Parts: sequence; structure tokens; C-alpha cells
Amino acid sequence: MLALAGTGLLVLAGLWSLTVGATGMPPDRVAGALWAAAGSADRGLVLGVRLPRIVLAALVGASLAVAGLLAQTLTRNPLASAQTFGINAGAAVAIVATTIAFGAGGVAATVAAFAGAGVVGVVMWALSAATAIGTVGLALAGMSLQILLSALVQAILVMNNSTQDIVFWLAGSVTGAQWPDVTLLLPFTLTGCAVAAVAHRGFGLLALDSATGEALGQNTRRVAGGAALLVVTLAGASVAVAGPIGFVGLIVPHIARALVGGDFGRRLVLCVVGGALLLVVADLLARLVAFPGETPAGVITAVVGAPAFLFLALRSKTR
Amino acid sequence: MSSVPLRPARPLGRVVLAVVAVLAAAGLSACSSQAATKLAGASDTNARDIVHELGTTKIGGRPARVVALEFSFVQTLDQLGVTPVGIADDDDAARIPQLLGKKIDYTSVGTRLEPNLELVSGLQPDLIIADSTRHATIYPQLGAIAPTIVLNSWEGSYQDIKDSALTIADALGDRAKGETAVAEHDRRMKEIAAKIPAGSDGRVLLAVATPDGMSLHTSSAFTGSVFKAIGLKPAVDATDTVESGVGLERLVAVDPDMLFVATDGPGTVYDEWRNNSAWAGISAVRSKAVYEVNRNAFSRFRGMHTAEVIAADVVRKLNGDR
Repeated sequence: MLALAGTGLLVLAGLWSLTVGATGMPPDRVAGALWAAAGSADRGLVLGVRLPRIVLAALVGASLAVAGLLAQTLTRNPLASAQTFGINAGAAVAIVATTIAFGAGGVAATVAAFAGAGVVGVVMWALSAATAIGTVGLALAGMSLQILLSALVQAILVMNNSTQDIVFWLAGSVTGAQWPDVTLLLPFTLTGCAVAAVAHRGFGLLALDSATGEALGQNTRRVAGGAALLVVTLAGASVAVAGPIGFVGLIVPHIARALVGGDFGRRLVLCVVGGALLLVVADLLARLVAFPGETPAGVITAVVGAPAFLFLALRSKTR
Repeated sequence: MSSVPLRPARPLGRVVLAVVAVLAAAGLSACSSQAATKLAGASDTNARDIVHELGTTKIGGRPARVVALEFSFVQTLDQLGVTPVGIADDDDAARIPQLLGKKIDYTSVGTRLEPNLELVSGLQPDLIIADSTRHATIYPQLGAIAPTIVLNSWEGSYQDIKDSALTIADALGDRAKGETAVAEHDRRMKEIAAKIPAGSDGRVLLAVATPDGMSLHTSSAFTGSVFKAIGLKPAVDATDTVESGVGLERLVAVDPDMLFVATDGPGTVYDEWRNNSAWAGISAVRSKAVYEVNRNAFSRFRGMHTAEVIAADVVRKLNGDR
């Protein structure tokens, strides 16, 4: 029921997004453009610029939210997400380094993103296995890693004299979304969500301690490894197309928990819908706040998400 | 509780101290900059007061060891027959031969954004030419090294660049040479403008493409004002020189009739946008008037020679020579 309502809202936000853009094309002309002959200017704008952007925002939002849910379940840490654990930043470093070294984007950048995200993922997983570190401690370790990696990105850019050239991507944005970006991300989002859905029972058991999982006949190690792989894949692919957008992966799983409780399967569905909805709305705001100029959507999610992170950090400490 | 009111007092005291120290340092360096200029002026009766963006600097004699912190200054100096000893060349040695069309001997002093003051000082210059946007904050330090004039290059219009040529000539002690250079340039620009085909009323745009988006250079930017100077219409009329973070839809909305896309090579949004269905909605695309150009030549370099290069290129293309 909630998922249906969320989907309805997502469709509404998407339709509204279709009518907002720098040309100021009014809704009736947008509707007309959809039926216009191929080659018309309006049709080109609506189908070639606005639509891929909305679709990409939805895919990135869903991917990051599911990655966040998996990370939180896997580490049993409410402050976990691809961003707070430095996985987004790891992907970003790898992308910036390969782009500058080889001038390559697209598929090469995506492969690099997986590598960067993977390395950080392994480090964080090893840290989370050390039980002594504690919930906030692990989040702090992740944030430190993120700061270090972000500084590395800045250093590479400064040395290459190109700091101002990719400001939007660095803040996280779907401004320049094109259909090739969508086709690049789509298989990873679909596979990631599908695997999570099929294996939802196993992933759900990860939330309990490993002894309980094994007592119920689960190969905890293998399931946890699978979950970690999904986090890295979903986050890496998202960063490759939209930059390191933060806080979506952190807050959406919490909203889902508040709405439907701890059941992994039900939260997963809400994360897919809610993540997509959050980023589509954030991107809509990104277009409206400085109209007709643009703001990176990552700035909007940070403005909403940073207070939420503080709230969660405080709550998990007092508990 | 009683100690609480005392606590803020201490840091406040420290802040005041720090402020005083900073002010004193600024005052000191201002004094030493004056001292430097006085010294130079004392040996020469021909000392001149050069008025620039951040004040007036006294310069005597004919400075020969000049450090230029922007490309436009290098071009002007070259036209005035002076080879700078130091250049903020962005640590990219290939840019200077491209700017001047010849190799010169100089020392790099780092990037234009963050020039290395130690390297500048080591060159023992007798004149430093700095940019009002990028180097205003280090003006006191520069002034302590050598007499410094600050001119508007980065955000400078075509007129600013021409005025700067006269100021620089004056600072070099040969204003007449500057006047000749500007007059010759004006003559060449007139010749170029005369070749514009009748009825060319299209709107011209220079857009710099990065991996992230495009930056549109407006009527206030250097290229925009060069277009205006030869009688063409810039596509974006604005007081801000550059509109950055522009997406494809905004470019479609601007709808230029002639579009120059400045790139550093492949890997920018230009590669992607050209394959987008909305790209065809731009007038310049329909009339096949989109040209990829070198970002150094069209955007980073500014100067009278660059103005001629850009104007001649536009006019050639308006005459149907791609």
C-alpha cells in the first residue's frame, strides 16, 4: 500500500519534473511534444534532455538507497551507507584518476569506480568485523576515510589545474544526464535490486547476529560477501554516472524502517521507491532554487541529509 | 559559574591581537612596497605614477625584469618588445609558444590562480603585473617584492584589455609605443570588420565545454565584447562575464545562430550533446554554424592579438569558409 502510494508520488514528481527546464516550456507544450513528430525541437528537449534526467535520478536514488539498506543491515550499523563509509569517495577518486590519466569516461570510468568502491568496501568490512570499534566509531572511521579520499580528489584536480571543470559532478548531480548514462546504470540497478529481492530472507538474517543466522542454516560469510558486493556495485555505478551524491543511502532506509518496521523485504521495496522519489524531488528542487541556473542535486540532498545524519548519530549514541 | 564570563574574553583578546598583527603586517608590507617604489623612483627623474585597479604605483626608469601573472599581459608585453622574465603559465610550458607564436626564455612562477611568491621574489623583478580578480589578496605581498600594477584581465572586456596595453606601456616607460600598438591593432580590426558580409545579424556565442557542462561567455566577457566591437551580436547579454554550469536545455534556450565550442580536447559534454536529439533544435546546428575551437586561444588567452585572431576566424566563417 505504502509502496503503491510512493510509486504514485514518484510518477507525479516525474511528470512535474518534465515541465521544468531552462527553456520554460509550459506543461501543455510538453504534452504536445510527446506526440509531436520526431525531429521537433520540443520533442528533442523533452525526450532527449528532461526524460533521461528524471529516469537517471530515479535509478541513482533507488541504487543508493538499496546500497544503504544493505550496508546498514550487513554492518548492523544505523549510520552505514556508501557515503558515510567512504565507498562513494573511493569510486570518485578512481574515476577522477582514470579520467585524468587516460582521458576516458563511460565504461572505463565505471570499471574504475567499481575498483575504487571495492577497495574501500573491503577496508570498511574488515573494520566492521572488529567488534570493538562500535557504531559511531565505525561511522567516524568511514567519514575519516571519506575526507581523506575527497582531499585526494582535490589534490589530483589541483595538480591538473581542472578544479572548476567538474564542480557539478563532484557535488553529485544528474544535470548532464543522457540516455547512454541511463543504459550504463540500468543493468546494475536492476540486477542489484533483483538479487536483493530474491535473497531478501538471507539478507534479513544478517541483521541478527551470525550465530542465529548459522543456527537457521545460513552460510553467513557467503551471504555477507554477496551483500557487500551489491553495495559496491550499486554505489560504484551510481557514482560513475552522477558523482558522489550523499545522504540518500543513509536516510531512506531509516524512513522505510519508520514506516514498515524492521522486515528487510518490505523495507527493500520502500527503499527502491523512496530512494527514487527522494532524488527525483531533490533534482526538481535543484532546477528550481536558482532558476534558470542549476544547483547540483547532491547539494540539496546534503542540506536535507546532514541534519538527519546528526539526528541519527545522536540517537544511536544515547541508545 | 563565575569563570564563565571570563572565558569568552580571552579568545576575544586573542582575536584582537591577531587582527592588530595582521593590520600591522599589512601596513608594514605597504610601507615596504612604497619603499621599493621610492627606491626605484629616486634613481630616475622620469618616475611615473601609474594608476591601476588597486591604487597608484610609482615606477621609475624602464623596467626590464617583468613578471606577468596573466596570459594577456604576456601578449601585451611581447607586442611592446619586452620578454617577461617570469610568467604564471599554469605549469604548462606549451601554452606560451601557443600564445606568442614563438618560443621565449622565461621562468614559470606556477599557476595563475596560485602563483608561487617565492619564485616571483627569486627573479628579482622590477615590475609585476597582476590580475585584479585572482591576485587582489596577494597585492601587498607582491608590492613588497617589486612595484606592482593590478589590471583586469580575467574578467576584463576587450576595452579593458586595450586600456591595459596603454597602462603597461606607461609602466614600461614608453607610452607612445603602446599608443602605436593600439592604433595599429584598431586599424587591423577595422579591416577585419569590413569583411563581414552585409546582413550578418546572427547572435554569436562562445561556450567553453568541460566534462561537466558548458560555460557561456556573455556580452561582458572578452570574446563577447570582441564580437560587439566588430559589429556582431553576442547571444547572451549580461553584466556577469560568464554563465557557468549550463546544461543542454539552457543552450537550446539561448539558441545562438553561430556557436563556438571551446574545448581542451575530447572528453567534454560536447561529445555527448552532439548525439542528443535536442542538439538539433539549436539554430547554429541547423545552419551548420557550430565550430570546435581551442580553449586556450578562445578563452584563456586575452589580448589584442587574440582579439584579431578570434575576429578574423569569425569573419572567415561568416564568409562561408569553414
